[in-house]
Amino acid sequence: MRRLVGTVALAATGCVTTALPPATASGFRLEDDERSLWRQAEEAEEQFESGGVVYPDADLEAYLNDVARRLEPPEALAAIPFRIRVVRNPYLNAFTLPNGRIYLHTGMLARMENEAQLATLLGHEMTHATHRHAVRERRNLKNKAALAVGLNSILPGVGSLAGFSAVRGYSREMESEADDTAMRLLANAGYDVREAPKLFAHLKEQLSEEKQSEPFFFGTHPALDDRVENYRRLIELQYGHRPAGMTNAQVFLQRTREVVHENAVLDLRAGRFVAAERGARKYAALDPSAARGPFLLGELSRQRGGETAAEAALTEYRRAVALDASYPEPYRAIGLILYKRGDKAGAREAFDKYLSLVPQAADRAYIEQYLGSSTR
Amino acid sequence: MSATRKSLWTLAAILTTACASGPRWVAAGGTYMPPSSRYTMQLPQGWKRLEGQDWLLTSRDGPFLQSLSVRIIEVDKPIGNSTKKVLARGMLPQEAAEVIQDAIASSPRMQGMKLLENAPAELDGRSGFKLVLGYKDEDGLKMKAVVYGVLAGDSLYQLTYRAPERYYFEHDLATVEQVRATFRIMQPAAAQARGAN
Repeated sequence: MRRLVGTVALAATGCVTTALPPATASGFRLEDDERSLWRQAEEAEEQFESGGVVYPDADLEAYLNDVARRLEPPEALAAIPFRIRVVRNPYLNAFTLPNGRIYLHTGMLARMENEAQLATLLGHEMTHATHRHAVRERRNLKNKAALAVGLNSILPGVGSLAGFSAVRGYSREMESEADDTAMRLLANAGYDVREAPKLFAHLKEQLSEEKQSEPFFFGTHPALDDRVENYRRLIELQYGHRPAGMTNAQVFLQRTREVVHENAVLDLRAGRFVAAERGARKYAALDPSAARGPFLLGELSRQRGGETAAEAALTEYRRAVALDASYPEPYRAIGLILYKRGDKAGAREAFDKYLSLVPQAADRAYIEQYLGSSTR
Repeated sequence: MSATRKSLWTLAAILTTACASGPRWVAAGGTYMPPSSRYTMQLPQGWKRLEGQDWLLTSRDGPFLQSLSVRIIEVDKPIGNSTKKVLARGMLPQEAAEVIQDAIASSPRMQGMKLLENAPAELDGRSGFKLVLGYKDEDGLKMKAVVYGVLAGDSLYQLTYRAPERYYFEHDLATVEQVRATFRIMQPAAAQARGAN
């Protein structure tokens, strides 16, 4: 309700200029309606973050914030208190609140290939804040139809933040401005600018393969097409002569490895099997010694179903056990498959092992039920 | 009825009866059988149910304060918008619980869901599951839910009780357990003989 009143009040503030200098300009001060917008963002952000949606990894957050700081000049960092957070959400999205809080969905981070691509996205998002797109967009919201569209947006997992334009995407002009500025930041920081269009082309290719419908700005084909076109045009006209810069792929993939796993689990929960498989395979390749990789692939096979699902799942579970005999989950999974097949001795062996590794297992009551029936 | 309770019911009524032909709240106490005749249960006196829809929603003080719902989900059919997973024939109760849990966890309306309990449970004497979940709703209110489910034939019968964690959840839990004990699945032949669907 507070959001509604605030939005309506802002929309009704009459004719005010939408041409504002960026926050990096000397003498930058927040305007009254902008200050109000920052307050709303802080309130909504507090509520959003208390919902347990933020992915808690301090090292990852430090890394992301470090990349962000290397992109912006000191005057931008002084004007906007940027902070990058990761949100557990498998949908393709990233958004920036007017106060500099940037949220990256795990679904976005897990699909990137290197640090240059991350820097492209961060540069784009930070520009929304430095160029004051939120207040400019609000001032542009003159007709009630546009307002209604904004308020009626139903976007999964963003709760209290759904009313902010940042979550749904800005006007085409502002998104283009964000592309232009991001490219300059990327080049100045020494990153390989050719990775910018590759990021969005790569995302588009994955979306097409997965045949998923995505609700957010970066998950729509027109938005991705615009980004690819804009960045390609910028390279052609301004940046084509530059030698290849850094991509820092190895560092990026090592830092984001656990996000890839987390996001594959989220995709699996949502039954987005193609995306989940892509994530699970990427994780397994990034850490071939981790038992969680084959276990997740086994879960994927089992839950997808089909004639050969159980056999394929068993193969992966056994690979997981071979990698780490103290990892409990594959034993339970093996037990369940054998139990359903009527192999009571095999099931008992697997369940016993599982319970010996996790005596306080949350599903102990189920397992004891199976064990009870497997002795009869 | 307190002023707060009255106003919450009024709000619920406004939200659910915007169209004259839409669902409306009616007194619910006593034996309830849905139009499909696929189950029966004894609803508590003083509760209301939303009439005119294909799944049961009941509440005493309004659905914002507590609700008990019954849903029937068919195997191989979509569970909702939040997951593409489906239930399958021959699933163990634990496997069915996993699908339902994932559907709930993927819902945008439930933030930061925590699984508090996942255990075998009976519904109408059949082996099923019980999930107890904690989460926050879209307004950040701490909620608690208990979900009972049982696969019978090609259908999963799901009873869900949800209420704000503070005060309300515990307050009506015993009543909900009594209602659960009266839940009876009708045999397909008997159900077909009694009604539509």
